[in-house]
Amino acid sequence: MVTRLLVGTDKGLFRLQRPGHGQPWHIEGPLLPGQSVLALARHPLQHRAWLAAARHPVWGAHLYASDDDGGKWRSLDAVPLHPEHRHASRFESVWGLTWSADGSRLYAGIDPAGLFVSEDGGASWQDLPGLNDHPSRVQWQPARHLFAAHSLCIHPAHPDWLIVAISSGGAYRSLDGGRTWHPANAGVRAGHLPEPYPQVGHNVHRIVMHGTSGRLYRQCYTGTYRSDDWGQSWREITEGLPGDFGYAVAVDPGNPDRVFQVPESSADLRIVVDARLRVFRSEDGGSSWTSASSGLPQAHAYVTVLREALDTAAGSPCSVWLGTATGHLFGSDDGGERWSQLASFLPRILCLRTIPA
Amino acid sequence: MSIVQVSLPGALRPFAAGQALLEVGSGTLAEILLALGQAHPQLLPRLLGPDGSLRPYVNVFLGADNVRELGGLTTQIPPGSTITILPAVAGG
Repeated sequence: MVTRLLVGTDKGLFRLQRPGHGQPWHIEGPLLPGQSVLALARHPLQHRAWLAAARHPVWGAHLYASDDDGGKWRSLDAVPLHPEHRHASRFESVWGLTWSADGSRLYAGIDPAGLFVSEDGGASWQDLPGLNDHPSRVQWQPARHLFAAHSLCIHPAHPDWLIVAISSGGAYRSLDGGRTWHPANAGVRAGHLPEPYPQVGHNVHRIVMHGTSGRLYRQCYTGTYRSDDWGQSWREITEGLPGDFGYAVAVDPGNPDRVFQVPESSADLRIVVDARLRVFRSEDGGSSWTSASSGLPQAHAYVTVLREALDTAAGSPCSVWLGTATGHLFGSDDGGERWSQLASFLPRILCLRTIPA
Repeated sequence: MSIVQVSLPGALRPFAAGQALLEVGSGTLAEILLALGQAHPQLLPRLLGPDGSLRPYVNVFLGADNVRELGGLTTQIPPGSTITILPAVAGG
């Protein structure tokens, strides 16, 4: 049973803890007060060690490390930067952090769009020019509020297989540890571009990977997709969902066929469809969907769930956790069958992660 | 006396071993900030952006004057003076 959560918001980080099932949650925070906490990553081997990507409106964006499951944080000295004069800005903020399974490499996706790797836990960073200077970069463009690389996944059986999302620019994959990159968007629509199925330029909101099989799920500006060949091709699995827009998608760590998605209305409105906060669940890899939303507000819920604000944790069934941009936090211990509200008045929730026991 | 005093806001003191007032040698503002950064490496990136310019919402005052109205980072800070670093009024 999940007993602890880290919740990154627009005004700092919160740590929530409950003594047992059905017990009220204790809210600790704000930690990193005043900072927008954009991404969280747990070290794969040092299990109490976390990294946070944060941004302050005055003091800028920095990385922070914790060795006690998020209770205390210290600033790292370095951030990943583009080479001087390469792009309009060298660095705005980190939008994604991913450790390799053995903890030897740490990847950071940044705004302006770029991917960097560190082999010393974030003390120094190396550019990955095969992606950052990709010839198709001229077709990338800022999405609303950001122009970033995020959602980096590393194949569980092939550590040199990487895939990353560019918002907006599409997904790119590497089969050689990040040296060379190729577009990975076959079968993916791009509703904001004149060509229906372009090679690049897609606005990818989120890519998640099932941790043992390597299956990928992808939520785009237009459509939800699945890939069983590491992004070489994608199959659209939007049918059965009440809309094709959304940010958040998550997969059950114990079952690659069980996937969760929060449908949003049109790109103009960007709130949950029909003002009903619904989580849709598929048990068959996206071939069919049903609402798994008991306990979530089903009227006048003018909220959105952002890309990093939906998480699952292993269990039988898995647990599911979501936070809204209005600061509401919900959880389900039974795979989405019933939801309960953990907190109501947090700042805008940007990301959340469960803390394993 | 070739010393300049630098007053830090509360938000930056954790990055300067908790100190509110630092002393460095006089020079241009850029030289003073770089000297601060050598002593406290996490301070400098909170004052200067990745391009090396003063962050837009960081204000540095020489006496009552905002250095942006003087010479910016090239402003000569006289010995014996105090500069005050403050966040601009921003945010919501």
